[in-house]
Amino acid sequence: MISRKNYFAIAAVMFIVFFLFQFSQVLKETGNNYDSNTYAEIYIPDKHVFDSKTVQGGEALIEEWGDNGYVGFLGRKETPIGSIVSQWVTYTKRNILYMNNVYKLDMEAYGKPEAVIIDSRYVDFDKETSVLRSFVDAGVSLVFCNIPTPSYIRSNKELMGLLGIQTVMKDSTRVEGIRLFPGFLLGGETIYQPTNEAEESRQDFDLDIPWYITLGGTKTYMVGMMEEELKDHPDKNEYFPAIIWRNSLGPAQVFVVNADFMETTAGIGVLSSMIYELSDYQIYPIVNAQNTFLVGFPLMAEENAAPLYAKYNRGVDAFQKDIIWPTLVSLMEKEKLTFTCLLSTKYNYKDASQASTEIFSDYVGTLNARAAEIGVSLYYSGLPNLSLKLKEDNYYFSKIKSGFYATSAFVPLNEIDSISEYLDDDELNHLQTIATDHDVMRPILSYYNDDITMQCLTSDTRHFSYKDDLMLKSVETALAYNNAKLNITRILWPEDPEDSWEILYDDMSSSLDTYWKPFRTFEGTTLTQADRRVRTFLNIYCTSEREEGVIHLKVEGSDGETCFFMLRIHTDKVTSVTGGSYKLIEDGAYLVEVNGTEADIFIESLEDQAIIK
Amino acid sequence: MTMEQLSVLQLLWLFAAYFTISILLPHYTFGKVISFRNRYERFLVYTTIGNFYVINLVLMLEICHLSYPITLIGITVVLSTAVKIRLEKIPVKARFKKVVSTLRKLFEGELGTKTFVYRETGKVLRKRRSVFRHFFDVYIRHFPEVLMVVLLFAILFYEYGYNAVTQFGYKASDLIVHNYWVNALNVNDVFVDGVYPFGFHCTVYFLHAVFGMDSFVVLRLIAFVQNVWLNLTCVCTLILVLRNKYVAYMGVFLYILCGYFLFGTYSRFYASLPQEFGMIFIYPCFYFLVDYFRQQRREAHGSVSGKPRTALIMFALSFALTLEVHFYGTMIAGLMCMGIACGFLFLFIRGRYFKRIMTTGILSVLIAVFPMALAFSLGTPLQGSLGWGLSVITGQKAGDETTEVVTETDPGVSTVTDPGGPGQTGTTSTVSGRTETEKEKHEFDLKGTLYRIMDRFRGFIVEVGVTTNYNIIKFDGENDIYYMMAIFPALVLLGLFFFLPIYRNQCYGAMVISTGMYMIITCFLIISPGFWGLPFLMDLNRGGVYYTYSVPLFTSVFVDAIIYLLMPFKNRILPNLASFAAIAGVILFLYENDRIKEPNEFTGMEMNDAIKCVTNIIYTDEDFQWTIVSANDENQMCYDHGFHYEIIDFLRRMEGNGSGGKITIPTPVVFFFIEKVPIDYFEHYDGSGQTISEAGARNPLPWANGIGAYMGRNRWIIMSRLYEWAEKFRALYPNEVNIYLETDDFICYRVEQNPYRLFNFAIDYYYNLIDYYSENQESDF
Repeated sequence: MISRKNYFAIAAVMFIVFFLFQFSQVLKETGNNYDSNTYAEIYIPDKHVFDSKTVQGGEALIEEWGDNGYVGFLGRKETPIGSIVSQWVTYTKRNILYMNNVYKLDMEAYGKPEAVIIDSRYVDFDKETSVLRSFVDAGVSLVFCNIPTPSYIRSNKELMGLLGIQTVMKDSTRVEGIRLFPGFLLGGETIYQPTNEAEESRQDFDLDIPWYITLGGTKTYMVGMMEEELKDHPDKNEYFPAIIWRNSLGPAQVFVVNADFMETTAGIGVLSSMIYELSDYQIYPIVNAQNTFLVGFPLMAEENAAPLYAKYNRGVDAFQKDIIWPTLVSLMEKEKLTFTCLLSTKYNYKDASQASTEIFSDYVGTLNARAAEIGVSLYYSGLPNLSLKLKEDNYYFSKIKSGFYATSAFVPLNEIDSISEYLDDDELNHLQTIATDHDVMRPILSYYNDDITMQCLTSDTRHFSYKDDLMLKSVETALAYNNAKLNITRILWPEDPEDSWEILYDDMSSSLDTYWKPFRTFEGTTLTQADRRVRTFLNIYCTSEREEGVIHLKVEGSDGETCFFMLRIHTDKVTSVTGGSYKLIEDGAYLVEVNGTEADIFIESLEDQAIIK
Repeated sequence: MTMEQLSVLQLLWLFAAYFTISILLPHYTFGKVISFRNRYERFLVYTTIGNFYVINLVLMLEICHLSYPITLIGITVVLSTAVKIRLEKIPVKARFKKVVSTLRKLFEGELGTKTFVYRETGKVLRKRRSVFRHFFDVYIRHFPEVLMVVLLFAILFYEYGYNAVTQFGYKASDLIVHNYWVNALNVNDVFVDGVYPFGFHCTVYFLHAVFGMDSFVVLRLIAFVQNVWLNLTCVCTLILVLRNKYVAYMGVFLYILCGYFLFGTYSRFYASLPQEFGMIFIYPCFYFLVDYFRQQRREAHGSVSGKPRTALIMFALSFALTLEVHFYGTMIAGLMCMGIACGFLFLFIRGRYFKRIMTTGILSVLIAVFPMALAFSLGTPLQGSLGWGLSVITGQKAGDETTEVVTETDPGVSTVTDPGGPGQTGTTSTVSGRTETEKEKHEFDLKGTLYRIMDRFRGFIVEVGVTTNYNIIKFDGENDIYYMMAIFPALVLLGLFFFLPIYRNQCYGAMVISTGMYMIITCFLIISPGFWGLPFLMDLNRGGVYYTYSVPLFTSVFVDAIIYLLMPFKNRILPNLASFAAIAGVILFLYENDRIKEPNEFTGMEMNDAIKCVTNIIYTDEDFQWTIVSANDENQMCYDHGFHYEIIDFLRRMEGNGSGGKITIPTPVVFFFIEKVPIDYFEHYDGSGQTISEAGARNPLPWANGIGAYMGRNRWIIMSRLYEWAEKFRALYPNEVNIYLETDDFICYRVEQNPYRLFNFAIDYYYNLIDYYSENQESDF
């Protein structure tokens, strides 16, 4: 027998336990709107139109952004190097003077440039080396994005002195790997040299490089490694072939890149770092966004069912829910990322399966519960053109009859131009941002039109190569931005034996855990969250001034939005920030968050850092 | 925190450390065994045993190549505990059983935790309470003496301590060498630079290894600690041999405050030097030998205490210590022994005493010399300064480092040249005498002979007076020095009074005579040995240090003897009042004559800013990831933490080569220390105090070796050169070269480089490519 008193006590406890377990779930269910895109409510700043001025004088073209100094570019804007330089000046809000020959630099008319960036293909070194030298003597620093052939350099002693080359050891030598020294690009020191078979596949640098020995007075940022060849040399480290270096010539510095990095997106960060090396500090706007988006996840149709069932013992829906999503959730929590899931109603339209409308709200609810964003993927096959794909998709969404609309979409690069015709379609008329593949001739971050931004891919978690890592470091250095893609469609429609989930997941988690690790200070975002920051980043213009131990920062065009800046400073340390906050990224690099239009960054000099006064 | 504050904390820690090895450790081991002795005697015994133990422990472990902090601490703990157990006959087994039984009861629940804690803490508290009670009892009862000790500390801090915590550099150039020897002990190399008395280095090494202080910090600050100990042993010795203990303070106050002493007699106390460390053990030698005679005499009269044997052992240890630390201290201790032998002649000549004392003396010398002799016989050469010391004795190089040059033109006429102290110009005086003629030699005339002997002594007295007056103690009046010297024979005469039946204190009288005889012997052998054709035992600079060190002894003994002579009462009130009057009289006399010594602003051989930088670098930068490029002083300071590169080597390697040369320094960080206003490193020159300049850089690099490159004008040239180099290098690497510290007189640059791609420091900075020896360049200068 149980007494009434005990009966009520037990009942009360059971009720309390029941309540405690259930109320959080009830609250979550109530708060989760399965039919809508929660990221659609994010405030989007208007596009800011700069009062920019273009001056065309002969072959010279100046693009002016404001009061910041200008850089000269000797080369063509239409080339990959020109594209990189153009992007870089846009992001750093610098004025630029485009020149097709050295004589276009009229310092009396335009003043002294911050630096002149040189595409050597447009320089006649026989005649113009002395002109370049005169720039240096006048205090203008030079950046050689590439240099002439070793045989030519050997013959031109003046050029050798300008570039800081003491000896041309060999016209071409095979290096074992490449070493990037710390303090140049964010991410610390990196040795790009495979140590095992798995690493071999990552090595995609051109290892045959000219071998230059640099002069005293130079500082080297990247070298080729030749441990075996120079193992008995007492100063072997100083004899490794230099790849990126700086030659100090008293009034100015000459930077040299002895590789093709400047023709790739890696050039953006390299330029930022070089300009930082020219000054005692650099503060520049950044995005502070780390996107990871999943293309073709979730797929709403049971495509390729038989092979999938054979491999995973599940259909598409079960495979996605039982295998892919749980592992992604654990990865998301571990890496503190937020995924953007770009759903595909159907990928291969030759497959007979139909997109299911029943599972849509399940997916939206599940993804919403984990704060993942849902966008659309316009990656497809089996249809002759995009319009048919969009028609199919529109039909699908009309059947759902929900309030859902996507604000982000993945558009394959080959469709990026044609998509503009369909932006008024039901599926796309709420789009705020488009993610697309990487193309060196397209800016990483830009406005696709007045309403939509475009965010290009900066890395693919699949087959992450050494060049990809260099690009990642470079873009993180210049923009604190990463836009990584994971193509789930390749798992559902495998093209080679390595297209399986366990391999892809392994690649992805190891990449995130290794190559992304130095950048965890930056915030994980979805495409729409990043879009807001990208707009602010593109809108703002900042000036800074250092006075004793304080850097005064003024920001224009932020419209009350929080802006992010990268402060890179040699030896000094940030102690506090008024008007914002700061985080240490690594030695000499700080992430500064500014909430208003002004901020003061307080700096502790080396002398002040002394413990004993 | 400021460097001054840090120095005070370091000094306190060092003081505590030295107190631990000199007092606490021996007290722990021998405290109960010698508790019957009074506190002054215990202080001397503890100081002697503690230092002897530390020095010889380090030496033995060094020889066995086992000297590490862990072995030093382990052996000290085990050995001292074992000796304590043996001496105090502690029943270890029984105690161990008791502890085990208590713990068993505790774990089995038979004994409650609360009871256990209450019982154990109660024991400690009761013990602590009794210690506190004892402490207060003692200090309230002896308030006047506590006051004297406090006053002594205050005066010492005023005179020497303040300088120690405000001037951070080494105060003597040879400290770098001592630092090198101490650092060599870290790698178990005890005679790294040749055979040399090792006591000081072993003590510094022990303090460094066991108490975790950098050896250069110990060497910066131990000067004050050893100075305090030196004065405390002096006070204790005097209190123990005198009848009126306060007279001892008079002597010591006079010694510390007397402004009549020339700077050279006390300037060495600002530096941490072995000679001054060795002086700690000279007064104990005096006391233990006198005490031996005293105790032996008492034993002869029937009292059996075993004290004479202890006194003799302690004498042997302290005498050995003087030899283990510095030979000169042994010489002075030897002279004291000679004085005592004269004073206690009536006992000394007896076979029993003589044999024991001589055996003890020989044994003590053997104890100290054996390791050095062994090392020498195994092929380690004598260290250079030992050779120099011997050459002083043999007279080969007597003038090299002495401030006095005595040129004997005639046995009766000598010229004494005094180079003068700071601010004084040299003086020359001539002492007249009489030349013997051949005729006088052949004709014996008693009156004439006596006259000649008297005349010779008069000449000697004048010689001693003048030498003392110009080199050691500068009195205002010409004859004042003779009044002081009159104390020496007066002590001999006074001592005789105490043999009279009215006093019947033969030992006291003998001690007084001993003091007088010691001073007379000092005059013969230290001040003016040349007058009699005797060899110089030491140069007059050092002789002056020891001479003034004897001032508290003979003045206190003299005053005490007078008081005793006039007031031989058992009641101590009047004598004590007289003693206080003597203290007051001395201080008033010095004050009235404006002769209270002003504390000296003794700047180091290195700028304060440089030491500040070294300290900061050690605290902030990772060990062995940095190199300091500077003149010689930091060379050994960095030993435990980083590397050092000499400026002169650095500059010479790029001289004439410019950027064609190659200088790499394989650490991520390199510091460059440049004196903007170079210090006068041991040498004044015409442009002393001038700022580094292009004019300085425009000179060829000095070719002098060793510290010669950093002395006088050379220092100005190399500092100017390095500054020009640094500025040029900074222009090439504006972000990599930063100013670490800059003041009006000093600048420190910090260069950060990639250790995997080192900077080539060899650059063309213009001055290194000038052809200085071409005729065409004449106009350039």
